[in-house]
Amino acid sequence: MPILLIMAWRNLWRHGRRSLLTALAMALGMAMSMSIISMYDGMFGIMRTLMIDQLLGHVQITHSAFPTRRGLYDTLHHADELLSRLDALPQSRGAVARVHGQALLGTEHRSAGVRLVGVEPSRELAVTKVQDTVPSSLPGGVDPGRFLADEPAREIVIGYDLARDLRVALGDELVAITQDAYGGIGNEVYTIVGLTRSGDEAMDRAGAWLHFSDLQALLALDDQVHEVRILAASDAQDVVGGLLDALPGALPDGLIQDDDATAAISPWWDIDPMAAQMMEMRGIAQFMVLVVVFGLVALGVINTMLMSVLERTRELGVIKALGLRPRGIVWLVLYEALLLSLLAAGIGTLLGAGLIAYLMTIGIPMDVGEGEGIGFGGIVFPSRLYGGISVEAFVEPILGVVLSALLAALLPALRAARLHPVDAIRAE
Amino acid sequence: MWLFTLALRNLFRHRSRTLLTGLAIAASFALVALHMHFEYGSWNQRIRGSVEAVSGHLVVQHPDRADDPQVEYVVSRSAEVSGALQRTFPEARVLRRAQVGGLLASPRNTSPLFVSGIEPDREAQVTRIDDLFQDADAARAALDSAPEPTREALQREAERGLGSWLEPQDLRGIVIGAPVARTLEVELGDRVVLMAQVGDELQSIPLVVRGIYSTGIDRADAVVAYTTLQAVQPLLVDPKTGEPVPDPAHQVAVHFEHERGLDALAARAAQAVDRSDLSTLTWRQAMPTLLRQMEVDRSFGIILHVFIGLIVVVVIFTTLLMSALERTREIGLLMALGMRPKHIRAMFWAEAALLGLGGTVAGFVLHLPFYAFLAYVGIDLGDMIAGSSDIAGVVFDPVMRAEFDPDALFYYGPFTFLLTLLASIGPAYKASRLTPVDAMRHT
Repeated sequence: MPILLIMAWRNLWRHGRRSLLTALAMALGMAMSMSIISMYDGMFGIMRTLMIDQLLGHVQITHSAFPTRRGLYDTLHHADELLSRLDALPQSRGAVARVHGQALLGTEHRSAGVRLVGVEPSRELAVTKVQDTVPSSLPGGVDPGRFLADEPAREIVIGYDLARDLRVALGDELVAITQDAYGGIGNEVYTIVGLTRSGDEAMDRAGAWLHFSDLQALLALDDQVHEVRILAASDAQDVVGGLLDALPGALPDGLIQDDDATAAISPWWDIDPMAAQMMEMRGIAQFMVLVVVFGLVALGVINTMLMSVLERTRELGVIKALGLRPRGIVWLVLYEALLLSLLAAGIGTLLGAGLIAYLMTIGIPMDVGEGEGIGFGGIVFPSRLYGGISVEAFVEPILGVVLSALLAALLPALRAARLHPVDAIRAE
Repeated sequence: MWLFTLALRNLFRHRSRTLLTGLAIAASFALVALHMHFEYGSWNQRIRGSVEAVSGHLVVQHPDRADDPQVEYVVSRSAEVSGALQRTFPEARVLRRAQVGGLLASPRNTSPLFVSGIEPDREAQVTRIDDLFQDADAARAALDSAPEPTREALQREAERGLGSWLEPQDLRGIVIGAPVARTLEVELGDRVVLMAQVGDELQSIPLVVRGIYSTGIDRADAVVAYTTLQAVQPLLVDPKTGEPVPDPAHQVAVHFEHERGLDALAARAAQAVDRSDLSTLTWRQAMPTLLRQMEVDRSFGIILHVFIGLIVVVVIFTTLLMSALERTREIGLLMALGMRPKHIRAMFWAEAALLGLGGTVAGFVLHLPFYAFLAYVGIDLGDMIAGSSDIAGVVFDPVMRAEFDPDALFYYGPFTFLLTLLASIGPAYKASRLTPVDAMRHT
């Protein structure tokens, strides 16, 4: 075997320039797929942070009717006790309680129908980092302010787009008018302390954050909450699954004080199947890219290997006459392709790493105006997209280049193996 | 001509290599063209949906509304405007709309949403929301006699629309999305109240649920409801005086069968409307963000196409270079027979030109069946394409279909051809620099 490997290596360098050029085409393909995977890492990283950390959590515990009807009365009691039990679960990174409401929010001149989300800022900071949705800067030098203070102080944080629609700025007061839990009209005045730009279009255009005690007061909900969400220790299916298994035992008595209902424990992919599909789409898209790129690369490899076999017809005939079995010929050609692909993988990794470094530091401008990037499925991406880095970004293209080269070399290899020694030696 | 004859023979002498290189060119062209058709189709779909639901081909509205959709930017005496446009374009569909944000309340709960005040019969000619009700009725009628395998699909279809679309005279009707109906816990015939701010007052408009629709995209259905224009008109007042505006709307939209010569039509429309307080815009002017999004998306695509082109250039370059080296003796002979270096170069370029042309044409032919599949069958994305709020109210067809992007033929076709020529420059020079004696000695 090793002798074939040495022969293959020498064959490769008999046409050094051709080998190098073919390797370059393969390396370009690798670098291209590495950059694309890096961009996917970046974009889906944003989507993951937004969807799981901020929008959905890994698992939500609610009143069984809340997921479909989002009713004001579909509440949980004793959330404090539940939270402390959840903090103790090994699969959990932390849990937060949230209150949800709707209100007409506005000034004396204009108003909008808005989703209100009540949060406990200190817990959110440790778990969901919802504070990060207040950016460090906004277009036109607008001051984004800060997130809510830890203690309830009738503060409100609203979406940047909503603030523009309502023509309000930091320090302005907003009136919220809503129906409360007793069917009466609840209203209250809040001071704007921050503007968010989370990338979640629904919240940025028509959403507001309040301290959950403030929102409970507005809705006359006492100390009830609508939802407790848990972030798992990791995204891995088995960790989230383990968490799902552990949760029923962690629920305190009296959580649901409604005879017709139970507690619902829903993983994020059940709460928002569309989000789950969008995350899954990544795998398909990435696979398509690899197939397309390495399909083209394989055509180049077939070409080179075929040439390399054809021009050595006589010589192959001689080795065959000297006793090398057809299988040996196949290995000889495959080794040559393997060495070529390893060479390409080396160049490609360097080239791709350079591109990834560029994408991670400089990124790609995607500004569609107002400091916003392209929108997809209710998510607005930032105006400059950065690449990410992952093991996949290196492993998949390397596998792609090696496998496509071996596959492409199979045809020339079989062709070489089928040569008849006498005819081959006679060939010109 | 002899040059091309020679080139053609050279290509045929190495049939498998020619075939493979041609295939690489063809495959790269086909892939890029398919990608372009698909993107083109999905953007056209998105644009058509937005034109249907948001702007119309032409829209007459307050000059500031395109950038800042404030409730106070109204078109007063809108029926006059609509009449003038209808007289100017008898074939077109002209419709008035107003959109107000507010809180829809039932005794059980409230839901923030946008309510579109529309002219039901005219809107029905443009939007597809009303079709959901007809299709659901048909599905319900067919359900009883339907064989088992089709029942599930019919059942789903039937759930897409409960009740009916609005009647033009029905000043109190509202059509809401299924998620809103669930939140408010209301059924057909139940009363709801639309609360919205007018000036510094809170106004409540009582309405009756006539229809509950479901496009399948809950996020979009949760934020858009439809009522008649007359029902929301009391909410559109003059912001300075707080006084009612005569016959207000937010826009008068004009839909044509096709959009050829839209700029000229816009000029005619502006003339017909003849109001200095209003502007007449084409959809491109009315939805600048959408257009900008498309440009950014397409420029990202071009980076990919260039990358693919680069790979193909290297493949072609390798092939042609090999072909030059392999034919060293033969080139020496041709030179000894009196061919000048420039003839040798021209011969190589002719080969590349034939290869590029053949490859591109083959790629075009090759991609047609795939294009046909993508165009007529399409890819069913289910509810993957979501409604985002700026395009909410657009009924999406969940099947993405490709549409023929002429750029693929007129820009990427020549580009592929030029890439092949580009790749042949180096090898041609290499071959033409040989001296006859050395070349013929070469083994």
